[in-house]
Amino acid sequence: MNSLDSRSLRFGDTFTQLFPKSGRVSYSIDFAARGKFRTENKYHIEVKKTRERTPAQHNVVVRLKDGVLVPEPSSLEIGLGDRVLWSAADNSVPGFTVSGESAAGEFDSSALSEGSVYTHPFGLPGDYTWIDANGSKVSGVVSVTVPKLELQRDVTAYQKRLTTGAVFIIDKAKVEPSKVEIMVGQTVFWVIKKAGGITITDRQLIQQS
Amino acid sequence: MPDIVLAADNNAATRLLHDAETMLGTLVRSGSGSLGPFRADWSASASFANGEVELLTPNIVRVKDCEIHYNLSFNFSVNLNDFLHFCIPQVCVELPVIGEVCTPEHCIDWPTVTIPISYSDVIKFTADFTLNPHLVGSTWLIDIVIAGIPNLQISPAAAAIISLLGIAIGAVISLIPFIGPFLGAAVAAIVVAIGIAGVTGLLGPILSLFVSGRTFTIYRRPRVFQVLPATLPLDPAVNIVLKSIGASVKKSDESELVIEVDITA
Amino acid sequence: MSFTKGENVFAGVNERGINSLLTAFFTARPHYLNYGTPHFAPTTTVNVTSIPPVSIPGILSGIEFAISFQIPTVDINPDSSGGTSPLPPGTGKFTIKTQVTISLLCVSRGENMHDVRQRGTVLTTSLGVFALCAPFVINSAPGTGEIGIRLERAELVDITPDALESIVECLIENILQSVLSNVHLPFNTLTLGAFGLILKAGPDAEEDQVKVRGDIL
Repeated sequence: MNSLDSRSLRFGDTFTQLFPKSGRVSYSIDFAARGKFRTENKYHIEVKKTRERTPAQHNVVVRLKDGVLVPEPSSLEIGLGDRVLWSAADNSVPGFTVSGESAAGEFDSSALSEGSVYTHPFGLPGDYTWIDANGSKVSGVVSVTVPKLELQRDVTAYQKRLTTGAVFIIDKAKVEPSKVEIMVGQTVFWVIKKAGGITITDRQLIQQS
Repeated sequence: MPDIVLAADNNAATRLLHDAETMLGTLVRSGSGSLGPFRADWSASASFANGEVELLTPNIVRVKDCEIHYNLSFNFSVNLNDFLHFCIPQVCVELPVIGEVCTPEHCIDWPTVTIPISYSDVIKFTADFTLNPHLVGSTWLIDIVIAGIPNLQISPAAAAIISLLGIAIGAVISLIPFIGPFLGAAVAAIVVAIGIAGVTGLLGPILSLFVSGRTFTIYRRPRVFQVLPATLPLDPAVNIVLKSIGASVKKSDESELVIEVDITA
Repeated sequence: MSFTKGENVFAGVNERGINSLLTAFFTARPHYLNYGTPHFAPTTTVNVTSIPPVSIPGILSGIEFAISFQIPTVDINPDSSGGTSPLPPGTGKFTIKTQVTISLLCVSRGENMHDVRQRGTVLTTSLGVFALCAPFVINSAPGTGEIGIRLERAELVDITPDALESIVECLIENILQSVLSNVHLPFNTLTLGAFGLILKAGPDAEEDQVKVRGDIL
């Protein structure tokens, strides 16, 4: 669960895609272990033109059923500007990718681009340097510490802290901030304002392979 | 009067005991038992050493402070979900371009871990043994056989194992993601669940296995006893037969282990 | 009084035990009891020791004879014979009793004095023998030492005149001394392998036993 690699979404990770244009979205969910292989897009999202309203978020849970990755719900109807968040149902779901095409263009959780968000909760302490496995210069550092929960007030403070996240904003080659500091259990968000298909990958994973 | 009479005082009997302990060597046992609420698989080895003999009529060999040198290895499995419940809560963040994104809550399914422990120690006991000369096949044996099961003082060992448990559990589970803030509490909870009583409940029966019915063989010779080996072709071996052997403790001005033997050509 | 008497270990073998040991020894190795010249024992075997004949004028091949002892028995101090033994065992001693059988080939010549063929008749007699002995340490090596038998004096019965008895006693005493010198009792036999013995006291012949005391190896 704790590997930092947007190329393989595990339980606890999420991938969110903004759909700013109306029309039909077709997408597939694939096993990350199969690399760049993609099955035929067989799931659909209808993006409807709506009157002015606050855009909403729609959650899709990915399950493993009879050896096949299936989204629930398998089809959606959303409004213009809404976003869809995909996450694994539980630990039994192996690493997966979400990829497809919409009126605004292609999207792929393993090659993040404009309008994508990747989140990952950190479970072990340490300093994690993340880079783009596809070779761009974007990178950053996540520093994770273990809180000391000696008193009840420490526990309360920690529980509150868990509800807040840290954010990296990626705009082409620029990353703001360059480093975030969090506690074990907290979630980091990577939001892509503009980029040409990047990954968020622990540098150590690249060095080990 | 028996054909041959042998006698040994307390000092000599103590030496016979030590030789018998060495001959016994290292005993090995394995099995499974209860470690508090857990099931533990264990293997243990033990050897005996030292101790002092006091001879008591009519046939008691009292061994004081006999040492059991033992090594114990055991492992048990813990489903951490029985001790920990933790969910990463929903996190909502307002993001540029995208808007507010909220991650769903997800609860950690903790793994079942196996904790290995190894411990070595020496424990002393005092017990009475009775003399038992007997013929097994064509071999005469004089055994001393423990009477009853001595009380083994295992509290210090149990306390030491509890400390080891804490360290071992921590070492195994510290590498589990998200457990960091709860590591101390998890270790404490598991150790408390086991408790000194749990460790004693595992260790006591294991050590008792080595002590219960404990026999030391202080004499072992074939019934046909060789007086002289064959030397030249014209000088074959000279043998006698040990017809009967008796053993007891007799006391006059001192207590002695007395072995009485009848022989025949 | 304890067996060990201030030492750590004790071993004592009584008369019956010594007799069993002597029986075992001489049953396994009877050639130590039986001796004969080539007429009686052409070659040394397990059963008999071949010895050369005695040269005598007029007998080309020498006097042929055989000497055999019965397996001896012992009487350890104090005397158990009721006073009938000619050599009762005194303090620290024991008496060995056996029977010696002496055979002689009495040679006769043919009428022709130059007939070198010799024919003969075997003449045999048996005599009771008593020997006064004492145990002694052959070697005292811890654990592997040995006890031996030292013959001090032999007595035959029923030979007259006394001078003849003395001559025969001298011969038998020497042969018997040689026989008994082969009897070694290892410490390990006295203790039946129960413990290694470091000899500190003994061997003592008393109270119908041969006793040793010492430390445990």
